[in-house]
Amino acid sequence: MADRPKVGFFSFTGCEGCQLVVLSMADRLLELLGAVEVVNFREASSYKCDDYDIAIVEGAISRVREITELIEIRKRAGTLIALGACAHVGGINCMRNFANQFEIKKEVYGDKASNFDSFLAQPLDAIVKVDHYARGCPPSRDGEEFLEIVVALMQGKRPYIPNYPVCVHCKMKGNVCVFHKERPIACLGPVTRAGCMAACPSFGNACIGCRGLAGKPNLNAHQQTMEEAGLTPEETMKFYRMLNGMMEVGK
Amino acid sequence: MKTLFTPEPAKIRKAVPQTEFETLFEMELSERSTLGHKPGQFVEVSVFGVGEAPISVSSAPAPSMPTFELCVRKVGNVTNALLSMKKGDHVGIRGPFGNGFDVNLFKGKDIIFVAGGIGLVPLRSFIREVLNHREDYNRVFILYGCKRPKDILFEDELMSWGSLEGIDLQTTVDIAGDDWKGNVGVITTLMPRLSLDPPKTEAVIVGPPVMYRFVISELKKRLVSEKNIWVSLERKMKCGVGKCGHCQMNGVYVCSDGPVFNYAALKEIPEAI
Amino acid sequence: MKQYVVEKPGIRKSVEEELKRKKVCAPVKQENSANFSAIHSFEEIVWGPPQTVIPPKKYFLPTSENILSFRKRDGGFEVEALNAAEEIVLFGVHPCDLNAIYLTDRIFAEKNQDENYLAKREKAVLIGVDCLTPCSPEAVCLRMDGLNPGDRFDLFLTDIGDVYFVEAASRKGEEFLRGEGRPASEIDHRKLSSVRKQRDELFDQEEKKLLPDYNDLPGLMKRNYVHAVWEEHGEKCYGCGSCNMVCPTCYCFDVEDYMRVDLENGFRKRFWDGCMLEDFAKVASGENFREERFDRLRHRTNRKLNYLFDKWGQSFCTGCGRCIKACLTHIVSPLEIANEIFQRQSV
Repeated sequence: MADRPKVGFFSFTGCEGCQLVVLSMADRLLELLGAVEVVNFREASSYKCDDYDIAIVEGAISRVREITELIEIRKRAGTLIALGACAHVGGINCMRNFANQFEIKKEVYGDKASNFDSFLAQPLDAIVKVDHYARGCPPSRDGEEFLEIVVALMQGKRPYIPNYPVCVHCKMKGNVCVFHKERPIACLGPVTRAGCMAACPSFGNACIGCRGLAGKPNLNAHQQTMEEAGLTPEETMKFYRMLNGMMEVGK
Repeated sequence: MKTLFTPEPAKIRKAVPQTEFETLFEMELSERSTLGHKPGQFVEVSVFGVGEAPISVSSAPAPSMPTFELCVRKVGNVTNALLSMKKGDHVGIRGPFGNGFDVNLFKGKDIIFVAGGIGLVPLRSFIREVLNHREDYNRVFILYGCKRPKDILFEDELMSWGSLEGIDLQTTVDIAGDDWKGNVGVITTLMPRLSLDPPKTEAVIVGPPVMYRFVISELKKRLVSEKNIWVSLERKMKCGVGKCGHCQMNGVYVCSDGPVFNYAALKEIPEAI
Repeated sequence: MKQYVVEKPGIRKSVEEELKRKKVCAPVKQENSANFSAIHSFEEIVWGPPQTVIPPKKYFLPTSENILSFRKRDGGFEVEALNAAEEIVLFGVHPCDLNAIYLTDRIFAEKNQDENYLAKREKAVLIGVDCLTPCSPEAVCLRMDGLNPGDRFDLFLTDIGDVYFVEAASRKGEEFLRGEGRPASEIDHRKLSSVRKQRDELFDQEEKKLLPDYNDLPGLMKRNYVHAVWEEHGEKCYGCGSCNMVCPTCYCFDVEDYMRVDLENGFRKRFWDGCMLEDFAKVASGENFREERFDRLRHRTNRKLNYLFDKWGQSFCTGCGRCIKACLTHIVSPLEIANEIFQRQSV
């Protein structure tokens, strides 16, 4: 990789909060800016340039125009990093995929619905090859993991991303399992990939699966655990669909 | 302060590419007069910032030399980084670790070395030790199998071993083009060519996991006793010193109880091969 | 070992004296559970139930620890070994954990001594507290030989009514007492025996039984290395490693390098790992030597009841019950696995 790689940030369907996380890294960001040259970053600068080594892309794909743009970005970039849950697994956008598309468009855009080319939301890798995923909604550990990925890329190293479930880090932190609280909470931690240091359970909340599935998740076991916590299989499925709707097509 | 996990500095003296994926490095320790290893032992090599990986030593024991050789295949982060390094670059070394081969048990015996692919690396250390003390050992057979001709390691060295008296070298590849004049087939097809004296024969096998079972069964058919069969195993290792748990197979730590095992004992370990 | 009897305010005074000088860590309340944490007052200490979520091993083998730092210099690297250790008093440690600490001490002191563990261990004073009631419905310490700590502590307190019966196994333990208390009398010893007898009877009533003979556990595991139980339980296993993390005798760790953005400064970190996790035995070339969840469950259970039992002469499950509680699919209990195998083989 070049001594000071050129980096472009791009944004598709999403809240753009991932870019905000990167921008809010303060002194860590300054370090990063010393090591890379940012040539495209809408949230931070109006300067634009189409020559970059690393493309960092947030958001899901949900419009025809976005497909061609993404393919163009992929062509130019040596390395493509999906930043955040929408880019990685489709995220919250995919909730629309389980409703009638005509009705949902009508509900949002009213009688102008036919002017919009939006369609079923998809993660980036449904369209192009993604080299690395900076998971999470927003990107985990206040962007630290994203930074580790960029550093690893500069070193020519495969970044260390655990494939095991959130439970590992949740236990390391000594949390009381949310399933074992006085008022138990159903949690996606046992089937969600670790790396956030169990951010939500550490604040007493359920893991909502924003980092996507763990390696070989035991979904059958999870369905049973959820049932014991009082959820029907349908309710469990709905919970998965909040951020991981696309897992049903094998992601 | 030094701890169990402190690598000592070493420098790359030579880096000679062997194949597309393997390079032979000569390393030089700067704080010790010799690595002091036995054939079959390994070192933990640090590329600082990338990590540490266990690598078999491929040179013969050299009691008064601060240099030793490592033949590295790029398969992971550390080995990828190593292959991009050059003469003069710095690495860290811990070790040697593991039991290694007890060469005394092989003295006066016929030895069959069976190497599959990169399994030749730890065996090269042993073979060179035998050649350095040729009179201590009897006949030597070297069987070497690779996937394709271009994967053959230490090609010139193999040829020179083959030309020595009392050394029977046989090589084979799994797949070859028309320009390959040698044997084609799995390594066990070489076995019938050897005229063995089973009670006086020790066999040493190092190769990919699938190879062991076939080679061992072939050796047993040729009446080589289980206690005369030796293997060296590969496992995931982090600490190299019997703590971190990754290399454990059943009750045995490969890094410290092995990596060299006698087959008579090994066959009682279900997770071994 | 010396035996004393100390008035309850005397122990309080000792803890408060230590608090002025050192970090004192003890079980404290955490929601409907407990956890080891640094305390600031004597009142915070949770004596007896509930069991802490994770064991005190974190003080000797931190969840994550920098073991090396390095920086680029003159074309090479300047490398510094890191081994941070502070003096602590670990107060209120239950017998299951005292036994577990003893066992992990053996592991880290064996052959290649692990200074990073041992330095922390040497700077700690271990003050145990006898459990007079089971600390959770999952506890099986009486069955797994974990309820009696022998002399595996610096100081051990048993509540025998209005006073503590105190056993001191080291100078560190004696120093903690600061001369409080008096040598135990014949009557005190009798009181202790009667308290322990009551304790054992209660635990015997409350705790799930171990059906096979304790000393035959390694044999049972060996004879049933191939058994349908492994697949059946493995099918329900998450491979989430919760059992590893909360186990007081699981000590496996992983190591990774981290580089700062300047690519000049970095550190090497070791952190908890677990044999139940998918990548635990997977080598760089992709081969996984325990790919299936049932392989890994069998491995973990055998480590507790067979491999390490064989080597060190006692079960590496000390019956604390944490894994049983942590396992959301109720499949991991070494005792229940042993029972199930025992019952099904005798059919």
